[in-house]
Amino acid sequence: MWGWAYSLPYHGDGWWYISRFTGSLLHSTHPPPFIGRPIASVIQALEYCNDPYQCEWSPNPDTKKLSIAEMQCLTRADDVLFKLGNSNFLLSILYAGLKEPIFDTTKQAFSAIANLPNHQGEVLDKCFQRTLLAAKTSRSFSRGGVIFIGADLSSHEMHAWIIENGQQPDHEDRSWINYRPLLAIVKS
Amino acid sequence: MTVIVENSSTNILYYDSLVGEIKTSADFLRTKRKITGNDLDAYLENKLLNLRSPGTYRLITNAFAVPPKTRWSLSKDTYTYHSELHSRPAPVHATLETLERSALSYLEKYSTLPITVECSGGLDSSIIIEFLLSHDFNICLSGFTSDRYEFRTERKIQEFYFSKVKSSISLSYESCGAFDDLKQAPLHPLPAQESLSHKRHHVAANATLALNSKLLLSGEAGDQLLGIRPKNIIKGANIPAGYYYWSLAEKWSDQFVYNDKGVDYISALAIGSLPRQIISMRAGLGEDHMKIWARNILKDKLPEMLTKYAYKAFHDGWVMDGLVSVLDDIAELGKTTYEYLGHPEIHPDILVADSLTYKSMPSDLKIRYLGRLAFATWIYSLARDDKLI
Repeated sequence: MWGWAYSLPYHGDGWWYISRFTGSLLHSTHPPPFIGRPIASVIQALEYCNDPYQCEWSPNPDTKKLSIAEMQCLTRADDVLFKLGNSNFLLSILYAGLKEPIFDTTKQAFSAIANLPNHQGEVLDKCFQRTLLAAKTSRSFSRGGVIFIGADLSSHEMHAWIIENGQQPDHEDRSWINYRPLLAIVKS
Repeated sequence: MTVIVENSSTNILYYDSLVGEIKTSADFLRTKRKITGNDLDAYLENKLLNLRSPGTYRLITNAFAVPPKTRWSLSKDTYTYHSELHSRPAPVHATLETLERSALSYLEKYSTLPITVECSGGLDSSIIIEFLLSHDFNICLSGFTSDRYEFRTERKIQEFYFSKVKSSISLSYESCGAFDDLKQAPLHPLPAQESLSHKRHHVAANATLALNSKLLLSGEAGDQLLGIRPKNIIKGANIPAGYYYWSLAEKWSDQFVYNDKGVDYISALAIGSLPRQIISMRAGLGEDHMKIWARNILKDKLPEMLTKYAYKAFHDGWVMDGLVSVLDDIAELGKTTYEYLGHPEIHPDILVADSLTYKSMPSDLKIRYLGRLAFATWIYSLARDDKLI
């Protein structure tokens, strides 16, 4: 199950943060309520976000051959996440928290997800479902993986990505650096 | 009847179908022109692609821009890409070494002069900088930089290269908005999207002069040369040899902004035979938007920041903030254009309202909006210099 979502508010022209309940980007004169100090793994992952050249990343996929049952499981979970959609933010996260481990590593998970029909084309359009599906199906995510949800404060565009033990495991995502991390979600 | 129009020069020329003549921009601008709402519709239909991609486009005021070294066929109110003037067979044995030799031979004439290179913090301009540094060229660097969060990876690379040269100028995106000084856009014969960013190039040209240099090299053609699927360019056994599409956006800036200041603005990856050699070396490969091929073959020559990673910083925030910061100018451009054309899409209130919602527009509407703004900038410059009937 999920542990906690840590708000990472940014103070620029007012306070920017992402609601832990709806996933909406909020701009306020007040800071968000109940900001807990993030745990060490989130702080460490944030350092990688702030200095992406310290982060391990490769454009090459790490492909695992899937059995029919594994592929069916992956596709079904993907369909559920797309049916829930971005508007069912909390429900999507709770669903992703019910582990269905298929892959040893999150990089393997992203490599397989990139080939699913729902995930063709621009990474940014389906990043929330893609990231949750990787977290749900990867064994290694539970050992230090952090889901970040961030925003570009000019366009208000949002993006989700994972940092896991010093690695950005999505081989197709080269745009995550453009989004300021505002919410971190970790496993218990 | 089809008319074939050729431009064998190295500049963008302008074909005036009313008199059947191809003209320089200065000659073209000697005649005052009557512009109608149909011209705006035609320009928007061209989707800002006419200086960027082969295709069929509509004429604007019975005229069109003819890219250097190209041949076009003209029918009643459209013109269509026909061919390059100097296509040549693909080189069979192009290698990194032949590329270097060709570049050195082209740049020999500049070996005693200071060369400025635009240091954007990305792969393409870094390739040029590394190449020139490794051959002991006397180079200076200039580059736009920003404190914005999304530019932190580019900043690192800029800092890395700025520390390697004796002279550099760091320019600030914050003090040069994406749409600054639209009312001072240079007079130009036909609407062009590039006119919207003339201020950035104006500032870069001044920086080049401040560095005692008259040549600014950019990496502009890199996205196409290193990323495009070679099959989309190679025609039969031939590869176009001219100064072609991927260089044209910057060619416009070179012609209308830099040349006025005595500066040449050139894409160093597109000089001489380099495009042919690069495309030939990549023949058989697919689209490569991360430029992995280039990062791999240059892995011993570039820092790991560029070979191990393929990060891409967005300029979207700078563009969107820049738009909102010039609303008064946009209203004035709209007022002048609307009074002249009476076209609803160019009404000042609508242009201003659309500037505020630009960030949430789908990409086709964004392109249309930039087209409307480029058209209004063009009309304003013509009205300002008394070139309208």
